[in-house]
Amino acid sequence: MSVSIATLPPQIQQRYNAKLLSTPEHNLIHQLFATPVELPDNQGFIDRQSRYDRLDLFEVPLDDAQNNPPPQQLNRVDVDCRVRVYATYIVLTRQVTITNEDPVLNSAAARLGQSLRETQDALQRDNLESSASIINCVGGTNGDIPTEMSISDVDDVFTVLQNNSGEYITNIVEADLKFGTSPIGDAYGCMLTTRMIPVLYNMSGFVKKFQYPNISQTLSTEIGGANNVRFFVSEQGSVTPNASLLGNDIANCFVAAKEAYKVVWQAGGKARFIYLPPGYNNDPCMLRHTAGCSFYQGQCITNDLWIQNLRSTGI
Amino acid sequence: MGAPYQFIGSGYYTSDTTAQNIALSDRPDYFSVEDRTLWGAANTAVAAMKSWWRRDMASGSYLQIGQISAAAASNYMYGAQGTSGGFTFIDQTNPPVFAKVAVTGVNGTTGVVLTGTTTGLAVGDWVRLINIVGAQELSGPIAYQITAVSAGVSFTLGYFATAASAGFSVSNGTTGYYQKVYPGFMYPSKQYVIGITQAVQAKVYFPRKNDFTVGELVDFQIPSSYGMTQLNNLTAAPPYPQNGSGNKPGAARVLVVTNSATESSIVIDYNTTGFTAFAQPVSASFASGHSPATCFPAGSGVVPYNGSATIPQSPPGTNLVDSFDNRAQYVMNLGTSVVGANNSVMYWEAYRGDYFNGITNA
Repeated sequence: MSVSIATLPPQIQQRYNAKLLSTPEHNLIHQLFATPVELPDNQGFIDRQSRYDRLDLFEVPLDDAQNNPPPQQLNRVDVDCRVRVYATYIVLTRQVTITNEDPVLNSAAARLGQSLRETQDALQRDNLESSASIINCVGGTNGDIPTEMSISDVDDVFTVLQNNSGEYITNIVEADLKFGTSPIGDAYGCMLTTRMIPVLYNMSGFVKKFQYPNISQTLSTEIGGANNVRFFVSEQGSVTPNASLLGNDIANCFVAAKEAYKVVWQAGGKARFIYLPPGYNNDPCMLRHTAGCSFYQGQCITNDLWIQNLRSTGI
Repeated sequence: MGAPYQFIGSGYYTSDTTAQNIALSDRPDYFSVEDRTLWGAANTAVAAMKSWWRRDMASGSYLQIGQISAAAASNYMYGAQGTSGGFTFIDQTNPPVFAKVAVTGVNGTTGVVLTGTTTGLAVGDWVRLINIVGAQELSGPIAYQITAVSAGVSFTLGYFATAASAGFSVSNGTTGYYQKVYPGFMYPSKQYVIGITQAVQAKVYFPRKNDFTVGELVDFQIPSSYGMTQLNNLTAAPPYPQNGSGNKPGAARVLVVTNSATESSIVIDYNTTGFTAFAQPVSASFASGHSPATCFPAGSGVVPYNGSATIPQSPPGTNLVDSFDNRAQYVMNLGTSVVGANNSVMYWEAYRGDYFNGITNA
C-alpha cells in the first residue's frame, strides 16, 4: 500500500494553531457623550439630579417712585434615574478546561468583557431610542417619510439644538493648507448605525474623516462630519424595522449636545468579572467552573431639548 | 444542578379568554399551563385542559390535551396541537419582527382596519400602519393598540377612535399594510400624539396605552402641520410666555392619566385655549414630508394633592415611579387557543434546561 497524504491520520494532517482568530466586536458609541454619574452605595437606587430653569429677562426700568418690581418664580426640574443590575455567566465543565489545550477560561473572560461593554452601550441606545424626541428627515429624494438624510436635515437638527441653547460637543477643526481637506465647525455628536454609511457618503457637504485638516482628535468610530454635526457609527446603532411611511427600515440617528443624557453607575457595582472554581454552586463533585460578569447601570435623558432622534431611511 | 430542568417559576391567573402575558425571569425551554377549575369536570367540554410548548417548537404553536363532554371519566381526554394562538416567547429587548399584512381599508373615524388576515392578533397587541393610501398621516412609526378583533375581517384601533371622536379624525384610507410590533421597553417612553384639546387643562390623546404618571413633567414636539406649535419645547419656555395664556414656565405637569379599554390620554396643567387648534395633517401634506407629533418625558414632578388635580401636595410629594428605567422582561404570551376557558383558574409552570453545554464544539 502506498503512503500518501490522503492516508495520514487526521492528527498528523492537522495542527491546532494556538493563536486565536479575532471575534467581531461592535463599536461602542452611545455612551460617548453621556455624562457619567456615580451613585454612592447605601443611598438608594434612584439618582435624582435637578436643574433650575432660567429666569425671565427684566428689561422694564423701575419707575420714579422706585417701587419694587414683581418677583419671579424660581422653578426646579428633577430628573430621576433608576439603577438596575445586569449579570450573565457561562459554565465550563472541568473536563473542558483540563483536556483542552486552548485556555478556554481566558477566552471566556474576554468574551464576557465584550458582552458586558456592548450591553452597556445597547442599554443607552435603547434609552435614547425610546425617550428622545424625533425629527424626520425630509430633505432627501427617495419618496419615503422620512427620506434619506440630506444636508438640509443636518442643518435642521443643528438649528433645533441651537435654538434650544445646546452646547457643542467638539470644537472647530480649523482649516489647513492641505489638499482635499475641509474644516469642521463646532459640532454636536451624532450616533448612528453603520448601515447609514452609504447615505452619509452620498450626502452633499459630508466631509469624510480622512478629509479633516487634523485627525489627531478623532475616534476610530468617527466617520466624518457635515457642517456642525460629527458622525459616529456602530454596528449596533439603532434601527427600527419597517417603520417608515412605505414600510422601510429607519435609522435612528441620535444627535446630542453636551449634558443631554447621562449614565449612572453604582459605586460598588461597577463592571466586575466573577470566577468561581469547581466546587461552588451545589457542585459537590467539583465538575464545573463558572465565569460571570455583572454591572449596575442606569441611563436617562437629562434635558429633552438637547438630544434629538433624526430619523432617516435609505439604509 | 444535576436536574434535567431548572424550575424558573410558576403562577396562576383567572382566564377571561383574552391573551395573557406572563413575565418570566429567564428564557424557558418548557412552558405549560393547565386548567385546575375544569380539569375532570363531568359533562364539560374544554379544549385547553393542559397546553405546553417546548423550545424547539415554532412560535405561536402548542401541544394540548382537551376534554370532551362526557359523564364517564374514561372518555375525557384527547390530544391536539396547533400552530397559532399558542405560546409566543418574547424577549422584549429583541422582539420578533412580523411580516406586513395587506389592509383593504382604514376608517379614519372608527379606527376599524379591514383586512382578510388577523392571524396572531389579539386585543392589546400593537400594530403599525404602512403606506395607507388616502390617510398617510396614519402611516409610519406610530404603534396603535388593538381594542377589538373580528377574526378574518378587521381589527379596531379603539384608542385612535376615541381621539377621533374628540375631534381629531382623519380621512379614510383605502389600501396599505399593517405590521404587528412590540414597542420599546425603556421607561418613560415618548408617545405619539393624535390629539390635543384646547382647554384650560389640555387633554392629550395617544394611540396606545401610555406610561406617564401623575406629577411627571412632559414636553412636546408638534410640527407646524399639526397646528399647536405653542406646545413645542416647553422645557425652554420662558417664565412668562408671550402667548398670554398665563402658563407657568417650563414643561407641563401631568395631572390625570387615563388608560382605559379605549382611551389613552393625559391631562396637563397647561392652558391651550389661546393656542392654534391641533389637527392631523391631511394625507398628501404628510406624505410630502413631515415629522409626527410627539410627547416625551421632561422630568420628575411633584405629586399633586390626592383628590385635586390642581393643588400641589403640601409638603410636596415625590414621584419616584417616573424614574427613567429599564422595564424589559422576558414574556410568554399565551394566545387564545391555550389561555383557558372563561373564569378558569389556570396554573402555569416554566422550566429551563440545565447548562451542560456551556460552550459548543468543546
